[in-house]
Amino acid sequence: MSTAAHGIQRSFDDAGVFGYLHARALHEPGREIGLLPDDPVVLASVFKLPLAVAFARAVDDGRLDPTEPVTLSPDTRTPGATGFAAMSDPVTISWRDAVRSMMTVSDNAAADALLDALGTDDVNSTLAELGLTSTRVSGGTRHLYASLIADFGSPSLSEAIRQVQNATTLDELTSFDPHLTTSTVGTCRDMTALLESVWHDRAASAEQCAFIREVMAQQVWTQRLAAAFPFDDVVVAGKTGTFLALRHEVGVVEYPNGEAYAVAVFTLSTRARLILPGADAAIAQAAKLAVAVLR
Amino acid sequence: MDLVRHLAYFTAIAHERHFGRAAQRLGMRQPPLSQGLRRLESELGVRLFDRDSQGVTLTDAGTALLPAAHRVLDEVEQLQLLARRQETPTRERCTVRVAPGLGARHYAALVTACRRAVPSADVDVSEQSTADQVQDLLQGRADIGILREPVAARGLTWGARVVVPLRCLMPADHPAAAAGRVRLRDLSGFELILPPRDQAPAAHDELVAACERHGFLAGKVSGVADDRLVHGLVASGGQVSFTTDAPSAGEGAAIVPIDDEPLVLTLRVAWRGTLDVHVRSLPQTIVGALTRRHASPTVHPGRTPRAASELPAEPA
Repeated sequence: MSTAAHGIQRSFDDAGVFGYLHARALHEPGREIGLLPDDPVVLASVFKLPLAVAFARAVDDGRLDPTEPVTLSPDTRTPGATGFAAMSDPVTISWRDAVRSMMTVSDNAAADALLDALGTDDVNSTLAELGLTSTRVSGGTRHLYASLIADFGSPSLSEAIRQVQNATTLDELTSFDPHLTTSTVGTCRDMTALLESVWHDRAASAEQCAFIREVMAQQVWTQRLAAAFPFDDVVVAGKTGTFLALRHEVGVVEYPNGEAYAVAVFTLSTRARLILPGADAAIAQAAKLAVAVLR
Repeated sequence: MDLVRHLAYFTAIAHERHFGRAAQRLGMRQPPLSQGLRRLESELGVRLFDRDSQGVTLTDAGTALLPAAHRVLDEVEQLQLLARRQETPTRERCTVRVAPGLGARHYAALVTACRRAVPSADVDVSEQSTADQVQDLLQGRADIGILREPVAARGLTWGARVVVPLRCLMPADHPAAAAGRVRLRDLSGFELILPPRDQAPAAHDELVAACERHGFLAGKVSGVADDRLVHGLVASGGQVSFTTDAPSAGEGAAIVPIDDEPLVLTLRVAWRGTLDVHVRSLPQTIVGALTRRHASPTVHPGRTPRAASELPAEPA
């Protein structure tokens, strides 16, 4: 293991989490650094990035009108802490604003509605066409909730969350098992490759790729990747993923001189804690070290 | 997947026809057992049991595979017996490593219990950092580890968790020393002495955070490894520390229980693979020796998780 990889590993060890990372220079192909970059990890809300790419391609193909309104009803939409998923009443928005909500605040209701409209096959064929063979979307947030409920044989999600918070170890939970065929999984290397294709206008049309970059730059959570690059002239565009033990972010750090670095960091904690600032800080520290090596 | 361990789950459930009793027989809890079974079924590609409200019954596939599972487990046991005969030592040895943090009384209880549990073996107990223990356990240089949580390591078998309450080591002239109890918030203004952060960085950070959670914002946190030096610094005034030792007083410092026991040392027993038959009872012995009547702090999350957790406020 190189000195740099050691430092990155140490960031994860310090926080007491399993960590995975891949970073690549987008302006200089071939420059990269990784720590278990090809190990599959359950994606949590990071699956919304490939979903956004599938949306962009559906718009390009004329299969989906980005301005068409969609209504998210409280009785059928997936619940969540943020966005329309957290609201009380029916909400009608355009598909592209649903994508914006899904990417900026990780809106579960918007994401599952879009995934229902496109289908997992569409997302997976998008991934396959981009050559991302280690990433698989088996379902959205509703699917993830269902796996946790099944794990504990619980009557409800709230009951399952209570149980998981007092579980002895999280490694054995099938919800976090990347080797199950029913899990939605990806690798850090696949995620930086996907980001590269978005930043190089290869994932979809230039217009739609620009849309994805725009909504990713509107990311509201700043405690992970953005915390590592707190400069007015540096743009950090990202997508987080958070589910009990899982804390991830994938994104691109852009300097005004044209340097751009795609970074994907996944973490898995052994503690079932809803708030774990140490893991967030470890993601920032690992990303900071990785980008410093590539600069 | 540890196939041998999962086959043991299979045979235990087949024998008991009941998940709860099978878990009890294996000395584990039920959720990891049923998860383990599911994983085995997924690995083998067949359903081994039918579950219903009456309990569990073997499927045809389960009935067909059960004798083979028994044969595998018998062969593994034979293998271990043969291996031990090759060593031909006069006495078995078992190396137990313990993460720093426990006091003399806990060590006494631990060593006594281990010797009593396996009188036929020499149980060698020593202190070692969690990170080093992981390496030694994986490479076979130690048999059983008692690691400080949180620990992120692959390839180990995890035993039970041990939660030991921490008490406050404070200057003897502090009013709380006379009262015989202290609230963390009453320590405001004191500096905090802890073992060096390097020994267990995440646990160190969590301990400092738990102090803040309960109203003690230490003016300064310094790292000191040597217990006698810690005692001397605390006795000199202005500084406090934490210990697992029992309440006592002497040489200018006092050990005082903290109200509601908000601070704990969390340890986890671990080993590699399956333990030798003759020391298989040791993990339970260790947990018993270190556990007092202390309810582990159950989490009472706020009714509305913070948005950053990405969990719904009132899940459907």
